[in-house]
Amino acid sequence: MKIDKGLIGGSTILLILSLLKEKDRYGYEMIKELDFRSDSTFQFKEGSLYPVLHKLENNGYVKSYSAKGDTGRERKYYQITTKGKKQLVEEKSNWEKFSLSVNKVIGGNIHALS
Amino acid sequence: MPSPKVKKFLNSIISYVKFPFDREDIKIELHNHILDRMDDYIEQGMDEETAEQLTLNDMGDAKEIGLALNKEHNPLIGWIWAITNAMVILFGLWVFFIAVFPILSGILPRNLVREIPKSDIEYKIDIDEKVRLDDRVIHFTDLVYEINGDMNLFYESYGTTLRELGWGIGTIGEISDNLGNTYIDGSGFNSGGIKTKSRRTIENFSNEADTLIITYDYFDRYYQVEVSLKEGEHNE
Repeated sequence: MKIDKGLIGGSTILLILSLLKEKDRYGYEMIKELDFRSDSTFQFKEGSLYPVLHKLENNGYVKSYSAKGDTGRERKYYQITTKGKKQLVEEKSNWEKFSLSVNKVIGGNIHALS
Repeated sequence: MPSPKVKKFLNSIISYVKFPFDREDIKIELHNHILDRMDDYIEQGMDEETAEQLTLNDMGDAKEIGLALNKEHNPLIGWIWAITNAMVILFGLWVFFIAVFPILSGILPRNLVREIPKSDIEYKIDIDEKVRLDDRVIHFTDLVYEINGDMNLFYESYGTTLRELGWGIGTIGEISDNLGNTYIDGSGFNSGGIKTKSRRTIENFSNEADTLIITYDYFDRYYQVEVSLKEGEHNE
């Protein structure tokens, strides 16, 4: 299954903040991690990650710094802030409510069909 | 250096970003992403050209990315930020020159006596006379007589209370000599700081006088300082 969407719609912030909660990462690293963990389910244009990251930075959810990565290439790393962690908790609970509601509807349909 | 294709792609993206100061950072970040992606493709056995083409496909539409980035790099906020930064720096410099510099120059004493060229000096006398006027102390330090007849009196003044810090002093009194000549105050010079250093120049001071007298008699305050002129180190 492949989901091709702007950048996975409303769950983008949830996904990025979750990845950054584990450790500081740079853009490409996040893309690869998302690809790996989702078994390449999320197909999106990689360039569209950056406006989202910059938006998170503007909102104060993450901050960035430059550092040399393992290959010696200069990377812009993103780090989650306290404000970002709070936002993550909220996004997570929203997502749970949302998926629960979706499941209820689907469950209801399945029930109706059976 | 990015290849022409990559360069064109990056330039196209940042052409949509209106705030100029962020363009370079965006370019570097995206270029590094492209290089990483290409490295991975090449590692998988692709030739560079194919890797580049696939990478650019993965990146997406330059215009779409550029427009989205422009939203996050708002020129108005960017300019306010840049101007604020510049103002903070200017304010810092201003504080330095208005406040810190004079205090420093007060702490690191400026030697006014040395500002007279040695070749102009007929004689120089070290005085060490202190007088008090209310909360202010006036310390007469040097007397320099120049070949052209100018008598230079050097003194420092400072307050003994915080309230008085940094205030200069008006007149130091009337200057006369033992021959009965009275000299009208000549030109003066003050340097700021915690200790105000001053130089008072009296033109055409008699070269026959052996004593210089400073008399202060104003506002019910009085002091008199006499300096013997014959003890000076001649032609120093």
